[in-house]
Amino acid sequence: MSFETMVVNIYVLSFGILLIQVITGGLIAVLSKSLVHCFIGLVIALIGVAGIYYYLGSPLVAAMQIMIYIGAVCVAIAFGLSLTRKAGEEGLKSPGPRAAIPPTVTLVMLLATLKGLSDRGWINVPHKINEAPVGHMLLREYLLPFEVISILLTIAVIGAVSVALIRGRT
Amino acid sequence: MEFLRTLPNNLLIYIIIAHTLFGIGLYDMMFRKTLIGMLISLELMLQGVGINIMSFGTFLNPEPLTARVITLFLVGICAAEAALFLGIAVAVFRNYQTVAFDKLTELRG
Repeated sequence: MSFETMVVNIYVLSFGILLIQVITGGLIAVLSKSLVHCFIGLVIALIGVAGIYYYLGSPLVAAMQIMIYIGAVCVAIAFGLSLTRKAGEEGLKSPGPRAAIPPTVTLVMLLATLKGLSDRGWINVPHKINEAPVGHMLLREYLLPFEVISILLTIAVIGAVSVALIRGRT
Repeated sequence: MEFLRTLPNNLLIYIIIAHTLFGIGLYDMMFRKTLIGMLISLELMLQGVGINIMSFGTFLNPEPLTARVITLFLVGICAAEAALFLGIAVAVFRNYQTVAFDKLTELRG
């Protein structure tokens, strides 16, 4: 086996491992009773999604996913989890016949997407494109959304702090 | 074997994984009992949306950088939403000593 074939095989194999990791993390998040296990499943799935972004040809978004989600959102969720935990309230409700709704909705969405895609081929394949222009795009074409996002983040953090301090239901 | 080798360049696998994540999150959102569990499932659903945006933007858009920008905005909005959600959850817990849906029934008519 030549060196190139081996590299390609490792590339494909790690892609398969990433897919399994995403699905496994999601299933752990759904099926576990304890919220801590659920949180660990979320972290596993998020790391796998970062890898999928990498395979889609975007190391930038993969790094952002790791830094923002694993670094910020998951830490915040962990603290929120430990602040609001109470014994006996975790776990899942008994599903009953309503358990058929999410698979049905997902399947209908998937079929609609596939039908919309059926008459057009894809024009690109993911490859390492030069992502340096993303910074220019953020500061030229997308300047307004960029600023709005920054204001939104500031307002959300201030609002979260002030909401969390509300006290005094009589 | 050749099919497996081109798997990372196949749009369908990304679409299927995105929809699977969304479905898992939807199921979790419907049957969790607490606000934090709901936030975790919401994050899973948004991951599905992010993969969908990235894969369509990469495979079908002649200008793939747009998808990167939009996904970055999505990640930023998710961070804001998570911060606000956690603030509300902590406030609810301080005032009601619980975050279970079944017990937060003050607005029920």
